[in-house]
Amino acid sequence: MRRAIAVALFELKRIFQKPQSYLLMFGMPVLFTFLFGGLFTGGSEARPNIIVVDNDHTNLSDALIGELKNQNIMKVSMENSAQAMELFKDQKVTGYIRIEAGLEEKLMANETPGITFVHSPSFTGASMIEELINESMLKLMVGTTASSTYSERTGNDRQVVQEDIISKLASSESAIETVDVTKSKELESMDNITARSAGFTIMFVMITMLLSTGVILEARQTGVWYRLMSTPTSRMELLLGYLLSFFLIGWIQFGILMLISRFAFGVYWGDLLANIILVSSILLCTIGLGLFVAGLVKTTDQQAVFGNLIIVSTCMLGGVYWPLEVVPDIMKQIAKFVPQYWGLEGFAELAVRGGTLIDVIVPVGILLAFTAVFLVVGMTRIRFE
Amino acid sequence: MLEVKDLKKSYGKKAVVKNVSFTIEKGESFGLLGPNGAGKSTTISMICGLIPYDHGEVLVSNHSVKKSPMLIKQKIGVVPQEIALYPTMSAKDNLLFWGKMYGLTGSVAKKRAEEVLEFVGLKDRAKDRIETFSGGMKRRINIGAALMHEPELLIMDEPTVGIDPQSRNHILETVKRLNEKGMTIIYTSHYMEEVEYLCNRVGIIDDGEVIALGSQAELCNRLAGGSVIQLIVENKSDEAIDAIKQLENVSQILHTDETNQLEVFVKNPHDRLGEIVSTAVHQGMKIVSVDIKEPNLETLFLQLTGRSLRD
Repeated sequence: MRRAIAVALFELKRIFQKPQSYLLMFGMPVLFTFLFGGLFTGGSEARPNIIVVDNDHTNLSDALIGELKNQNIMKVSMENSAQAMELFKDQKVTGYIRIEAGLEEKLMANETPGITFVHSPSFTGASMIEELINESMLKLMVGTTASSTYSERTGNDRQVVQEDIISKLASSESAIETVDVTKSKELESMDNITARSAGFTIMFVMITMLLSTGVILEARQTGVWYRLMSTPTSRMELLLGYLLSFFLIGWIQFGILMLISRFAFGVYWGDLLANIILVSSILLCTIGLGLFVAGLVKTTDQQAVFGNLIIVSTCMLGGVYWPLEVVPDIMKQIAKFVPQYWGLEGFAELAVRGGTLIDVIVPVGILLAFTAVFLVVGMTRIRFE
Repeated sequence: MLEVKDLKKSYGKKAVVKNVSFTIEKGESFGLLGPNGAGKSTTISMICGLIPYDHGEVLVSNHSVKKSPMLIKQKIGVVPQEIALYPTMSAKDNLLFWGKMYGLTGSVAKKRAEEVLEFVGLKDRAKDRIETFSGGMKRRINIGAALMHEPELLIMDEPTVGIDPQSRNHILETVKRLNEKGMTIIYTSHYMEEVEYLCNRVGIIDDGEVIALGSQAELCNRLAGGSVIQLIVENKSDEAIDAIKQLENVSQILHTDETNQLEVFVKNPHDRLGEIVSTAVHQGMKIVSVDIKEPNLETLFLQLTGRSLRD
């Protein structure tokens, strides 16, 4: 065990002795996160532009529009149907909500009213807007049902009662408001800095691990491996030492990048214990991938070429560079076959949905399954002679 | 100290080591001489326990390499052919690391690293990175790394490849001093003069087989023809070669069709030179140059294999 620790500490010293390591491990991912994350960032200025087309022109449609405006998570403007379509076609707006005529009648008759929400495929907050519309509709339905029942029993004018109830519902800040806050966070985090930060951290940790696992190939090429095998160090100690060094290097990189993104970009990573487990499983998977590639090639040059090709292509597939919402369904399905997807899925669960350890069991399990396959292939192909 | 018995190793159908046997006494300096690809490195890799042997046995201090590899590795220091060091780390860091791989800890490793740096003459470069060293200095640290744990047996696989004469002399002197201190040494090389300088006993290996084994004196006495007269000629003919072969004291003539060179094995070469040259001229050959090589390991190898050590 002493020799394994000696190997691990020596490899740590070797990597952190090179100035270029700092650039690759910390400088590049922070820069990439800033550039790519910054493109999607923008606070209130980044609120989506949504047009509302009111074809109903009733008190209830006005109430619905007021409710949407009150949410303050999108810029709402009013246009007619033709203008809305034109602006959307010219990509001047993110989308439009069309309230079909007969909204009030259908609500009164307890039927589903016609509301259409058209948005661009790249708009990742669409599900949240849909949720808001549904919630607003729910308020209106509660109001209309209550006013009908009240006017039937008291004989008061239904319209007056309805307006009164709806205005009170609109001004209420109860549980619905709490849900809105959560949803607005989701839009901000998923699209912006957290996703890019997590993605580029994973990508650059993978590149570092690729270089780190390349030390075995390098050792074979330079004769160091020959000398190591001539010392009274067992294969188990040697492998353990190398694996420990890769794990420590990866954790140092991951930890520092997470801290930088926390304090520089305000990224909230979520539950600490769950993050430790998730990051560890991502690291194990990445080490496994590095050894897998090292086992398939003969030189460090080959490893760099094939390894980077694998990393870049799987990062594209896994949603590191751009949100998966913008890719076709088939690509979304393919994404599930690359480890990065599950890493990001885990981070989204913790950072966005407030998940805990139990919520990342699936991503962690799948990452460990990847690890097992990679390690088995990689380790069995390491030649000790 | 070391006993190698009937060692065999094959890769697929190709036998690279065939029934190699020799013994080395404690404190001896043993040279394993042979051309590139003769099987020297494979043999020493099997002695070190780095590759398994197909047949035979290797005993170090009566312990089997197969049965007790870790015990044996602790007794052996290996100097590989390559510069097996970490170029971006300092000389001292390298030595400390290799010391730890041999089980040295803390202050013991540090003290030993200082001693080794002093021994190889690089104490003033202790903190410099290996990549800034000359080829000769790298080779010296390469040897130093194998000395960290003060091994009983030092195995050196062509430790002077690719360095300047001055550095080579420094390394040879270092090895000589180690042997004088009582360290047992196996020195493999295809440089005959290095083995002649360093080694008490020599094994000549070719095509995976030990073709000669003994002290240098014993081996040179085996030379049936004594010395070699090397002739560079023009108009070489079989008749002329046959005529020289008939002369008194000429035991063997080596030549190839591709070159104009004749290697004439002969006793008392200085006495026989005139007769050999005149016979050659008489037979129509034109003499371009003449050289007399005294009996040595090179001429023995030439006689045994018909090839030069550095072919």
